[in-house]
Amino acid sequence: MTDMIRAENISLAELSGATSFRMTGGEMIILLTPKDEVNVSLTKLLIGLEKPHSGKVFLFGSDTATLSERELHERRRRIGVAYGSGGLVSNLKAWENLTLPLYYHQHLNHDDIETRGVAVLDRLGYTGTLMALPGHLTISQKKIIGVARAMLIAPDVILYESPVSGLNQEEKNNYLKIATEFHREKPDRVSIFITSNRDVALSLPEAVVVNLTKGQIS
Amino acid sequence: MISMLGHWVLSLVDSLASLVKIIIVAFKSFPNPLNPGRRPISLVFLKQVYFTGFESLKIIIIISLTIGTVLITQIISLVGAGNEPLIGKVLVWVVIRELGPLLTAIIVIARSGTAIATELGFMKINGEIDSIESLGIPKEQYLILPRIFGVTTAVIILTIYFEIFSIIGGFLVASIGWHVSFEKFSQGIFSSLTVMDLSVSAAKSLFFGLFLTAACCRHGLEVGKSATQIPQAATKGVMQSLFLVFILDGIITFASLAFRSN
Repeated sequence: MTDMIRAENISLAELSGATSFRMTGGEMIILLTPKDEVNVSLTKLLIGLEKPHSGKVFLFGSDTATLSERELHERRRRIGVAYGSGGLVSNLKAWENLTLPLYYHQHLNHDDIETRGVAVLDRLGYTGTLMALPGHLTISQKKIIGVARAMLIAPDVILYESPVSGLNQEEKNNYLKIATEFHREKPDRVSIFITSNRDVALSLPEAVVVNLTKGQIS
Repeated sequence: MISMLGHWVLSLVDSLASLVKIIIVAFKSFPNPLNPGRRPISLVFLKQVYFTGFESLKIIIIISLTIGTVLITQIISLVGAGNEPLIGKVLVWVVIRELGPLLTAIIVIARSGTAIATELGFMKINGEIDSIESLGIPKEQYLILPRIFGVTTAVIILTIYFEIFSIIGGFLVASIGWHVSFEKFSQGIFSSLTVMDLSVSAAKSLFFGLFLTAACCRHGLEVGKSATQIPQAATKGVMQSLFLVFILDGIITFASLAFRSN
């Protein structure tokens, strides 16, 4: 089976030593980092937004260093990224943030987009306002809109960066439960959790844990 | 001294080349008519036209009326009230060829140029540009293209308004203060106004719009990780835009004179 994402001897300024890992279709993986600051850099590295100091990252079989910007953008359309901070665009309202990738990449009419958007928000239990700018939302509301945006494009790979940071216990459990359900919906989907929180590994027993602090796979 | 001058010229050429590159990339990233991405891009474009064009209209009208009034007062005090053809000629020369595009661009730089550089710098620091790119949306297409075309469209439209209201302001003061009739005033204007004058004005607005936006976008996107870089980016964007507007004004005026003399 082709690797969806493969990292070969990659190193980051924040990580000691080089690390390798691979993710094939259907896998759920936790990349356990030493601290939250590494999570964003690692996320950017895996989707080709940053280059590794050394080593290579392969995205759907192609080395990100050799891909053109256009080819990288085409590949990123198959990846959903749920940022720890939500990753919302500050001058777009919550609803505009949510539906941006659908309006940008898919030939759908307003009604279809509205139906899909409302459905994913209902599933995630979003109760906040949709016509507010991100600055007026709480961190958990921003995270939900960010996850909803990632799920809305039905990606082959979904990356959860710092998935449980800023959430209370109930919100954490709900977040991870929905992420697990979403993972099972598509047989070949890869779900990657990039976190420094070891509790995530306990909450997701079926996931493979790659400990980036030690370079071990457990 | 010579080496310093050489350094300065080289950095100026390098800086201009990078702005031309931004404009070319924006043109190249124009979405295919069948691409669904044109909907959100159009929305950003319309927001930019509204913010730069519509919301600046009030200040443009006030300044242009004032400029027209002041100019006519000065011209009449210089040549007398009975010399309408000369009044019209000077008004066309000063307002249509020079002040219209130049002052409009300066107002847009002060208002929208700073806003663009600050907004993009803030988005860069907050990781929003990476977030947009991670959705498979090129920043050149979603952030730069609609801003460049939105501001340029607004500058062209605002320049037309500026020139019309300057002439209205001039006529009002000439009519009230020196009893110049509308017929004589308009004859003076239209006998001096040529297609070349209007083309030069349009060319200036077009190039001012393109380059001032490119300069502000460039400095906004160059912000690193520190919040203190945002006001610096705004200042650099404004200063470079102003500098470019005056340089381009000189180049286009010189080119038009060379064209007229041939």
